[in-house]
Amino acid sequence: MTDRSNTPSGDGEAGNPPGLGTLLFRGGVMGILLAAAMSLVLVFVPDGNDYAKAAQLKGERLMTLPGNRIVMIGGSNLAFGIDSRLIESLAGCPVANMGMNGYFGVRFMLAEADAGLRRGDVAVIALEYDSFVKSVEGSGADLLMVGKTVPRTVKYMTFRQVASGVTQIPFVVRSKMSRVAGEAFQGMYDAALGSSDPDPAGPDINAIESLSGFTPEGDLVAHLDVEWQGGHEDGLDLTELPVDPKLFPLIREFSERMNERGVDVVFSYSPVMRRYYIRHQPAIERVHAMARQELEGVAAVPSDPGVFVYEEDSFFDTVYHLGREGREHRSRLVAQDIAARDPGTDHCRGATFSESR
Amino acid sequence: MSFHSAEFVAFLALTYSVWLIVPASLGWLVLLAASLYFCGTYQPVFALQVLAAAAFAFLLAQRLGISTEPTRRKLLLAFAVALLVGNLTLFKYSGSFGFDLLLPIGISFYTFQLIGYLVDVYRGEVPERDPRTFSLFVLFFPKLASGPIERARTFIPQLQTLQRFDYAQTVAGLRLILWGAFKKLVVADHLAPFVAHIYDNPESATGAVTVMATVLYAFQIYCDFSGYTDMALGIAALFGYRLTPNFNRPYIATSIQDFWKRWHISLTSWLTDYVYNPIARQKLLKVKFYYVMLGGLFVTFVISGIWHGSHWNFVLWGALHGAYIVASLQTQKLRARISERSGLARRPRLRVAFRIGFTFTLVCFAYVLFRAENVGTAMDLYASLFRGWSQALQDLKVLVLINPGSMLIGLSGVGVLLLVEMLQARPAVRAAFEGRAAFRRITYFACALAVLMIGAVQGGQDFIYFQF
Repeated sequence: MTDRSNTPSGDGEAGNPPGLGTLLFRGGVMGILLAAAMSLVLVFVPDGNDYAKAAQLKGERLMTLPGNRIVMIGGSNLAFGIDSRLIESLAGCPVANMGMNGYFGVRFMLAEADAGLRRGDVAVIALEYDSFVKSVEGSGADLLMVGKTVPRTVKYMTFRQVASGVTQIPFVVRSKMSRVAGEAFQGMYDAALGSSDPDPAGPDINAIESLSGFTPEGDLVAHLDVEWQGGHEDGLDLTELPVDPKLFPLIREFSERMNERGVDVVFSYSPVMRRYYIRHQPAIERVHAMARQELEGVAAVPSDPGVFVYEEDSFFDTVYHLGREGREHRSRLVAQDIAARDPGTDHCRGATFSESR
Repeated sequence: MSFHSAEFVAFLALTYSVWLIVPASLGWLVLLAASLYFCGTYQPVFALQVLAAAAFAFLLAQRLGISTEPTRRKLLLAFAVALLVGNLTLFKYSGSFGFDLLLPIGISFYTFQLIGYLVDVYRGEVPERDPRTFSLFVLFFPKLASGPIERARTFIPQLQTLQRFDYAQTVAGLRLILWGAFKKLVVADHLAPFVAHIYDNPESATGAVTVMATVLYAFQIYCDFSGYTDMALGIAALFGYRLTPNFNRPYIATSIQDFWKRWHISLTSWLTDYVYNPIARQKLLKVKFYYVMLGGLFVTFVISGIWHGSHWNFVLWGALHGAYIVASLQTQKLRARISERSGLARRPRLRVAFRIGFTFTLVCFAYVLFRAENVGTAMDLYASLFRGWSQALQDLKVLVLINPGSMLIGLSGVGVLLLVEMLQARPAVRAAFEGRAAFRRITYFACALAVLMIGAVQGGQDFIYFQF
């Protein structure tokens, strides 16, 4: 066998062939330049909408709202389906609605609220059923989006969550570039051949899910009088997926910490479309049984999930996002849940609610 | 584990690091272990399957090598080929026999490679005596999944040579990997959804969108397969090995014969050496050589079709290419006369352009059979060519609006591909490119940036030829 090791290579540097060190150095420089270019796109190419900026609005309200408050913790079911002013009028405390559309994970949601909750507050947790079976750690892409838009929120993430967000940078950059390319192509097409879509089929969801669509309390209201013409996006199939084993221990730990701080915790439920509820009723009831068992003594679980079931016409674009009518009813139910917690506490009284649907 | 997955990048980085660290004499062990692992990531049993096939061919080649009795040698070869083809048939065409077996990764490729090796030994080449070298000849992971189909006489001598880090070769390998990734992620995977949209709904297709989807498919499959091959060649180059190039700008072919000299070259040359030549040299048939040659060509292309799959659409695709070639040979004089009378013969550039366009059209026409799910779907799509032309613009608009961003990126990628291939063909441009380090580095940087920023990784597709 012949040994071809250390064969002088080309690269225009005869007599002094570059080695592995040169390759690593040049590769490293290229890597740094690529990372810098991607960071520029990440920061300077605008997002498809400014929805993530709502995290700033919500965070500021949580930190600055005086007195005893009701803090709503969860996902988009709260953004779309809570009337904070109605709850305030019924419960006697102002509301900070922290609910956002996006899969940030329960760990992040609780950590974000934890930072602002103080003695006398009531924390109401209401999660979409998807959140029970998805990882509590959230999606790297969504965490990256909120962390980039509102840097303050990075401190509510674990190292692992930050790392998962960083690994998503190429994907987020790609989706931005793809959107920019799409807009460019459509622009060119329209300029050459006239408008490609003169009569859009339905409302632009990006216009609805935007910062301007939120009230100061953190409720999304831009969708309330919009007729959604598409179908309703379904939730995850609960029958196939187990509840994340970290979920209830995490909520319990949070609730214990809150109780020590003098914060009451109420565990409520997301509104859900009847057809989804019927299909997943056994799984939802199992979740409810787990909630009652795992949170006993640290958080009130006053209502059954079945109380929050609504007909299809009450919903906007998904099986969790309520429209105007359902939103008001659900808010009354939440106020009732607040009232039903340990009567020994003296903050945010809540309200009983007997109106039938 | 596809070449463009994060898992593969990690696997390659680890394998390469270990390969760099260990003494050169142990390089084979690193590569063999990595190849077995790579194969096992699909199904552990696949690694055993390919090892068994390699062991069988190795032992049989030793027998062939020492045997001198012609009939015995012939029987040995026939037995080996029958068993290897039987093994391929069992796994690849099991669906046709009413039961489905998992298709071992790369089985079509390594089966042909082993048959070629055994035929070479039968024809007098010395069999490889070292089982380590032979195992790597079969299992070498860069080429295992989709070729190129290597020949023992060119690849085994490389495996017998100790390889170490070589800057120039490594950089050349990285360039190929980058260019392959560009073709796959920036072009092929962005075009794929548009093609699928039409080919999955043939009943609603109209002429304009069928033509558009088929032309897009021509670039999708080229960029997919040649992208894979570039990456395979590049990865092999990192370890010091030179694999057979599989493509040479096939869409500038001026005839179908020319196309097959430029497309999947390792398969075409394998079929030429081990199928066509034996038929053409056949002296038993009492017919003119010319007709034996035509028959041999046709049969070779039908076999090429069957190699791709047992569905009738693949068989018809091969037969159609065979028919193209037979027809082109039969009409040579007629076409020369037409060319003369039409004045094309006096305008060589126009004539070449016309021939390129005509060849591309024929290739695309056959792609309908290749891409369609089955013959029925292909017929629906052929029928669609005759309808809906009055609303062509509207239909194309609907197709584009599926994802305008992907369309722009995919088409721009095709533009870059054609430009690069055109420039690569000019030695002066190549020399100028190689001589200007700054320009070269900017080009690589732009290419890497394109792969990272606009490559269709999420929702991306596996390599098309992995299914074969």
